Amino acid sequence: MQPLEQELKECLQEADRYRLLAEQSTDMISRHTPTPEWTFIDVNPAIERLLGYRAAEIIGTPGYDLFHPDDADNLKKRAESVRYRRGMYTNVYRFQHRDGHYIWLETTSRTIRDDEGHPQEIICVSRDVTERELAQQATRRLARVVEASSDLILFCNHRTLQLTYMNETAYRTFGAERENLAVFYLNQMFPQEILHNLVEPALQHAALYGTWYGSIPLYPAGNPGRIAEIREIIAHRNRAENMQVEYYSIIARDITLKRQAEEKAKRQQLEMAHMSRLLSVGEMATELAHEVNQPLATIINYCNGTFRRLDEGQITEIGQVTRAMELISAQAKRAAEIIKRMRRFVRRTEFQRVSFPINETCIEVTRFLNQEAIDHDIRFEFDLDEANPIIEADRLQIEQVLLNLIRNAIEAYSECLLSPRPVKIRTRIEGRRLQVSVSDQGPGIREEQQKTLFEPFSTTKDNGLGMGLSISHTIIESHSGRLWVESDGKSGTTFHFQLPLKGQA
Amino acid sequence: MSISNATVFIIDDDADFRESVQWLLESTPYTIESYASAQAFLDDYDQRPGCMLLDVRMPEINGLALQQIMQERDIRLPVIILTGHGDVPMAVAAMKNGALDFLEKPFDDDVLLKLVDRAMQDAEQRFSQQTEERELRELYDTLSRREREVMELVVTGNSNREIAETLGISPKTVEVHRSRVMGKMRAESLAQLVQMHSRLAL
Repeated sequence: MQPLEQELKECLQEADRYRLLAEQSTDMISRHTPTPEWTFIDVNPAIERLLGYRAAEIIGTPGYDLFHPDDADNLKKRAESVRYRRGMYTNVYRFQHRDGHYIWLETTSRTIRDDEGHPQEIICVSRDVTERELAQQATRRLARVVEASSDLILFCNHRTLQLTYMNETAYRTFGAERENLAVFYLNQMFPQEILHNLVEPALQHAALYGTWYGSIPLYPAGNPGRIAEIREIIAHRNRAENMQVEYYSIIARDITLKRQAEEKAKRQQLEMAHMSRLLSVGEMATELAHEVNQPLATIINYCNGTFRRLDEGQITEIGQVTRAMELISAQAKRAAEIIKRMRRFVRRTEFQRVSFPINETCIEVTRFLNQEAIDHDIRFEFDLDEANPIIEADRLQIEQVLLNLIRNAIEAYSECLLSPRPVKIRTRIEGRRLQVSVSDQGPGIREEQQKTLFEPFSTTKDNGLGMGLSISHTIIESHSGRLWVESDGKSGTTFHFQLPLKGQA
Repeated sequence: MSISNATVFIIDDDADFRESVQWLLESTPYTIESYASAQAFLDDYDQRPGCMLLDVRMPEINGLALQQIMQERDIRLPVIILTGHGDVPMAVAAMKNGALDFLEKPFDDDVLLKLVDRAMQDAEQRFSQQTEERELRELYDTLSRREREVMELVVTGNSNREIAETLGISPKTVEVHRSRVMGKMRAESLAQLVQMHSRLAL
């Protein structure tokens, strides 16, 4: 009996140990009926900490009722949260606490079967994974944000520059199928010079400082016509190990629509500017005609004078004729020059950003207005910055603005008896910008008029359409500049505009 | 004045045009002088007889303003106005200011030369008239205050007696003043004195 007794004793000790293990375990160990009700047969005390129930309270009640409605049929549906491994299912689901709220449980279950294979009961080990689950959920949501973002988001291996992830927008912009991901490398997406001059420095900057912001144009080869713009590169470091860059996130934006809208607006502006130049020239027609007429009249005089001399036999030497012809050709050039200037001004052009000295342009424009100045007894006064500022802009459009402002200054004197009538043109470098000011000493512009001055069709002139200042305003703004007026409403007006200097745009 | 020493004054701010007109007029017997501005002409002008080719559009003093200044200064050069195409209102104003005629640029040389000749004839008349008036004025300036009063009353048709009454002097004294006036003014008859008076535009 001794050995049996011993064996029994050992058995009891072992059972005690298991009971102790089960009772002391922080994991909930439970037994259930293999029926749909999933009734609790037994449970260890850990249930109280996890679910708020005492063991005695819950034994005999159906576990099924405590599942979150969305998770109840996870096992049956083979939901994503269910894993099967070596006869055990692991399921992550929400289960109702005694207080009514749900907690996340991860349960590993095994079905105990009899010799014939019929299910006897189900043994479960469950742990509270609420925290982990919420963290993962946050991550999943984050991933969904990334995936659904209207920005292009790409992950890029820091060494091979292979793109390891692209969100949907990125695929759409690149016009690529998801399956082709492996063939994408960052350095294949740019022309060599952009890669060397922009992309590589940006990556280096990000690697050094964590983040790079800026703008790099991106023209997807697989999707002609679309334009994107890389705006941000984040270098992610491996915090756990050596703080080395692990990968880059690249954030870009598809600006095709924006660019199209900008292009359209720009075209409209060009169109308006052209119209306005035509109107200006129309308004100046008399003056321009007079200006062209002058050399023509001169030519006719030389011709007639020469004929007369030939008739009267006064010309004895060929030199006398050639002199007249020289003068005639000089006058013809003068007329052609005026017409050339006018044609250049009314031509329809694309927007062209070029570098040019503003002082020269100011003088040029006053030449265009020479006749108008004579007729209105205007004296141009120049106060030009000696540093000869260079700006980068559409020259024709800036000339147009100057012409508008100077013509306005001239016309400001029309109701005024003042003499002399100065129109002062001043250029100055103000920090990183150029300021041009056009002043008159006419009767000024009253404050209430100043408010509507830059609106289209706001005019005080009889023959004006009121487009000049509105167009000028648009032109200056499209050059990242500013146009404004200063007037005391009685003794003169000054229009100022500021533009970025070359290299400061 | 004889036509041969008369001067054509060209006033135009456009140097090239000025020179071309000069070139056209060089075949005429006239002296040609050209000025770039009204002021330059005014500063230089010394009552020489002649005529003027005047551009209306000029900075500072324009053609119309110069015409007015010339009227104020009694400069009686006949003026041919040169206008650009379509300057009709300006031409009208210039004609009202007493211009002889106007020419639209570009113009025919024949028309210009004919106009200049006409202007010169006009000038001859105007200048002899002006000389006459100047002489008359010199004579008039020799009259005493009383003599001028008497002359005024004589030319308006008063008898010696009426004049005596008006001035509060004796008819005898009036008679003395009257014969002095006739003598100083070198008037041979009362009718001539009346004419002189109206020419003096007193």
